[in-house]
Amino acid sequence: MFINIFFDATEESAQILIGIIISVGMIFLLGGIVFYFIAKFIKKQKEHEVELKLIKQEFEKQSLQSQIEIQEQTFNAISQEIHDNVGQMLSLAKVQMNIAEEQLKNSPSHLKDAKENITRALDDLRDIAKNLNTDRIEELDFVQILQTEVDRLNKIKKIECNFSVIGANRKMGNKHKLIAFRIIQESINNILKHANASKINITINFTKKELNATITDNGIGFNTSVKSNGLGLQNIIKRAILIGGNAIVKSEIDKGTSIAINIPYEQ
Amino acid sequence: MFNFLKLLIEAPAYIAELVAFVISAILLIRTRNKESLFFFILLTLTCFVELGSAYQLFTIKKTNNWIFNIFNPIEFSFYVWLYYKNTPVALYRKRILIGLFALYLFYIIDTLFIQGVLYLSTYAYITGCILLIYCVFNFYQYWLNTITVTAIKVMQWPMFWVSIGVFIFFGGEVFLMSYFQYFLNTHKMEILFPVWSVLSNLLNIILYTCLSISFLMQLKSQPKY
Repeated sequence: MFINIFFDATEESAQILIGIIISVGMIFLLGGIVFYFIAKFIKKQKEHEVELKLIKQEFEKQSLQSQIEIQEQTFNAISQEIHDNVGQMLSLAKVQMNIAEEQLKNSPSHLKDAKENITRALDDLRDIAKNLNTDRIEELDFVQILQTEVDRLNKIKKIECNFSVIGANRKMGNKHKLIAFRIIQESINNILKHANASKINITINFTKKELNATITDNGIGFNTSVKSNGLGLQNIIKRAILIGGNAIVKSEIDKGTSIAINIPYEQ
Repeated sequence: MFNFLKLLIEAPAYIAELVAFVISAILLIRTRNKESLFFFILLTLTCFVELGSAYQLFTIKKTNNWIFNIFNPIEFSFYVWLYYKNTPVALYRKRILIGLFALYLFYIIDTLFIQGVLYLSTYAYITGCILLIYCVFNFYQYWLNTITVTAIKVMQWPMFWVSIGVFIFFGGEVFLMSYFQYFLNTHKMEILFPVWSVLSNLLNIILYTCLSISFLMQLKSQPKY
């Protein structure tokens, strides 16, 4: 009826028109269902992807956490060993040399040199032991720990290390302080091992929100776009991320390297 | 107008069928697996039945419906087997299998006692279409809730294209066959046959195009069906 009014058509053509309308409707309905299911499928896929990513991230976090814990345990064990065993033996050797010096009327200069060497080795070992010991790091504030590390480096006289602090010293959470310190230690080790540098500058800036630390050297640098097999830099970045911070490595061949680390305080 | 449209769409439908057949042959040569062999057999049968019907090779008493009453259950069996194989959930597999045997039984009853051998068994055909739609939904539901779904690139997944083709074709066939049966019963088939024919060929084009894409995806990546 409706169609007859508007199209002035016969019953036959009206039936054909209805047939076409219904058919087109059917095609749209089927197409719509297919699109709905594809969209749902893709949405679900994306959800799964996000879930998998989160699981992966959590796993990496846990794995890194365990790695740090194991490393700390190892450091503590080495520190304890230096203090209780190697340190004691060197102390004993020093005492024995003192006795030998007293007993010999004209003590040879080699004996004196050896005694001095033992004293230096003992001091160096004590410094190393201190910086490996987690409890001691937790006792001191961040500037004090870094100062000890810088002093130790300067004492070796292999490299010149400058340390500067900007802003008022802020208290940091033990976990964040320890990881930040280990990151800086790792950076220094990398410089000593690979950079062939004569100078290291360490600057820490206590901003309102976070701690910014920059470690720069005047070494040979490297091409950051070339993927390296070493884990040192990756570890630095991963550790910074683990405690909600970040690390940016900049380097150019023959122009040295700079590592900028931003770590939240977490008190 | 509709005769022209019918002609215009019948040729691409046959071409789509033949293209799918050729690609399935290439796929069989390249992969030599069971699925490719079954697809090749199905498409050979389809081309044989469709082209044979077009050239009236199977006409008995002015009708060739009897050949479709034989071919359609074979076609359903193939697709049901494909979904049975690709659905790992035991409960779904059991339901699919029961559905297939019930369909065979209904085909026999419909052909012999309800509609007759020389008439198209539309009731059984519609039931078969509904069974396949159920299989597609089962399959979709299973994969949607499986974690491995993330590893699948939808557009490159052969079963995705098979399912799209099967869903649109058999979903449309439910409507078309009901439509066909209604107009046969009301003696208006002659008027609406061109519309029906155009739609039927359109559905064929969609199915065989989807199957061809699925074979091409299989050739490209060669994952298992």
